Amino acid sequence: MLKVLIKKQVSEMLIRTFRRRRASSSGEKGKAARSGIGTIILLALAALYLAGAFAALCLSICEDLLTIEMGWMYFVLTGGAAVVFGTFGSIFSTCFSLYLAKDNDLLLSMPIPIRDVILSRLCGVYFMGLLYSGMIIIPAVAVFWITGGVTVSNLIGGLVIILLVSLIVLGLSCLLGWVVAKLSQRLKNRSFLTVLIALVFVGLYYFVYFKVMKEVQNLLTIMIRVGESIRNSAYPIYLFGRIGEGDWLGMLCWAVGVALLLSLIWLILKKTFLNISTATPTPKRAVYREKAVRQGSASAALFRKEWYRFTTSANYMLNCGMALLLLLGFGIYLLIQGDKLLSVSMLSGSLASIVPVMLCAVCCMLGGMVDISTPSVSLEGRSIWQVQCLPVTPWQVLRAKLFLHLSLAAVPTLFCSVVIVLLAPASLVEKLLMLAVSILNAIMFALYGLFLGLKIPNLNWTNEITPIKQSAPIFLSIFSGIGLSMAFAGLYLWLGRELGTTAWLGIFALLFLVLDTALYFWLKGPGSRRFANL
Amino acid sequence: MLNISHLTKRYGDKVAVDDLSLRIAPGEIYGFIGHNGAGKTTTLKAAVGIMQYDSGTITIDGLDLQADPLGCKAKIAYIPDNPDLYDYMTGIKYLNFIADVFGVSPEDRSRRIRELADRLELTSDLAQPISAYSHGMKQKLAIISAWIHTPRLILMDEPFVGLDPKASHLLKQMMREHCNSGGAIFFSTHVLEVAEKLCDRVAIIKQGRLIRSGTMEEVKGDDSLEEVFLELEDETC
Repeated sequence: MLKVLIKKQVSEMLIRTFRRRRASSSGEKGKAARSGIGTIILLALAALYLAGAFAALCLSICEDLLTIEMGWMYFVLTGGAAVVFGTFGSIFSTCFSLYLAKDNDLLLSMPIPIRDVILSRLCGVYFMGLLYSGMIIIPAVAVFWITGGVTVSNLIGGLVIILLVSLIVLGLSCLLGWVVAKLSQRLKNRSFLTVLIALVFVGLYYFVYFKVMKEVQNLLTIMIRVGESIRNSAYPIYLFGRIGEGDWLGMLCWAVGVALLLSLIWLILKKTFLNISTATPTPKRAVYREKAVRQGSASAALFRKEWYRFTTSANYMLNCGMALLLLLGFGIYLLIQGDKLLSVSMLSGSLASIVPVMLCAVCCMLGGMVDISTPSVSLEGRSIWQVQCLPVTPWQVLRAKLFLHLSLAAVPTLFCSVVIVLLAPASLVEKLLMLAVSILNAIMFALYGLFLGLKIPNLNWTNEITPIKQSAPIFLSIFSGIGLSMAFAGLYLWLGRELGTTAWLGIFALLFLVLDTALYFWLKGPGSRRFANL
Repeated sequence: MLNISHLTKRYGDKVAVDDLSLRIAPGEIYGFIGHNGAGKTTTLKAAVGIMQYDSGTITIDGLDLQADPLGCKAKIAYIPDNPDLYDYMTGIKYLNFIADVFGVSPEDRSRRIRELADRLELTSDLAQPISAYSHGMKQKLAIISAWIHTPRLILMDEPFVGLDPKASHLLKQMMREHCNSGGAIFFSTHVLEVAEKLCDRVAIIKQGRLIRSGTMEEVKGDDSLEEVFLELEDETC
């Protein structure tokens, strides 16, 4: 039974992520298979890229810490980062796939032991946590082996710490997911409150992160002092770091600790799963009072529909709209610290010339991470019949999705663009081109998101987290944004400086304009027809 | 009102609807019966313009569905077998959304929502999110949304599933009133007693082919509709 459930869980997580529309002929099946393989390759490359970036960071600190015989501190830092990244990355998917999955009722009504339902759900949660934490801890362990050499004990220690980190992530995700599920049943405006709570966590995380980064220059000088205090006052953390070095006592203590944590969580789950998963949310009942309404156009109604969709889902807001805050944050940061930051850059004349492109690249990267339009087609789900049988054109429906993305991204993008334009040491033409590149990039990712959503739709999800977070279009959209902005900045350093900043910005403004136009016409023509036939 | 002529729809190699022709006149309640997978839903979906078909023509109130899809859709309402509505909206927001799309004036929509919601006993739940509705409540909301813009033709797929006896009775009344005022209704059902009592005309479909159609008297003669249906099923096996 458990095997069947796990198979179902895995197929929901993976196959639906990569599956195109229902293939009815062998030709379409072949096309779908090729598309799936292509997506897997792209995702693997993206994961490798992230892991590689983290490995580079690990390389920069590993040798120094090994020199002062603080290998354990290296594992405290990287293991801690992996736990935070893994837990934060999978907390909402845990909540929605474990406690609030749409097919909980169906499974619980069958002669399946609750234990098997929970275990099969936990497999999915574990896989997600492993994916997120593994992108940090696996390269960290590999770097440690390369830098410090491989021995039997640190080989085993490295494998054990990877396993323990993933299990700690599983435990914490379950606990925090349980809190979120409990909250979501009691609160009235739970979407906004969930977003608020998540933002507070993110804010705290970045506050601590920046504090640490500020001190990282003095890392080695303070590390001995910090290390001493950890050994004296937080011995378990010291033991955690020692696992990676192959310390048997650390492995034993933490294995027992994690086993206890998981046992506790298992008890909580067994006791509360049925209650939470079958409970009907009981927010305060709203009383209907007839109000005067104004008649709006069909397009305005479609836009409002998209607006409700976005603002009633904490998942949608957090996962697809977070970059809006990053854009605002980056703009505010530049307003406050910009002069100081640029005065350091100005020390060298050669650095000053790259500032406009670099600032523009960051703005483009953040703009590319706004992916509100990407899951919007798949989020229609089984209710897609409604817009298809209403007297509106498919393009009107797609345009409403596009407008939601653009209207939400407009202010942060413009704000950030104007700030970088004001700060950058550039000519008027360059400033105008910077503005054009940033804005055209934001428009392009709104269009591109819809394009991906139409090309790889998933209307059969049982949990909205699937199209919002675990779908190929989302991965492709985010990594395309990062990749494109890195190409924009990286190729400039490699080739573009020969051409000059104005020419480089001009080329990219033109490129984005062409892509915007092509995507716009594709959506209006073939894309709309595709939507009508979904 | 609705004219389906030589409609054919294939899914890959499987023919779901095979050269089907139907004609539904104003004032008629037209029942569509057949076993599971016979092609009823496919025909209904094709008639409301949410499924492309391979050949044939469909006209609604004189307008060709493929030539003027928006004109046709403005004249119809559709209630599917499983009303997957927008769970993230409240009932009243959903009704206002539908009313806006169909251009219903604020006065008309307020009056109709009041009348229909009171009649179906849904008024007190209109401020609740649809996600909190039961299947029957969603069905009632779908019925209100179908009637809110006074369509000429209403197409329904198994409309009585999930409704309590009182709501079922009300829906039958509303269907008759709609037809008496010049509209038409085309609906599929498995409940043959309902079809027998309610429909002016009926069509029986099997494996995508129309095997009998006409007025209720023409189709069933002196037998019950159930007997005729089962007989026809056996005959064509």
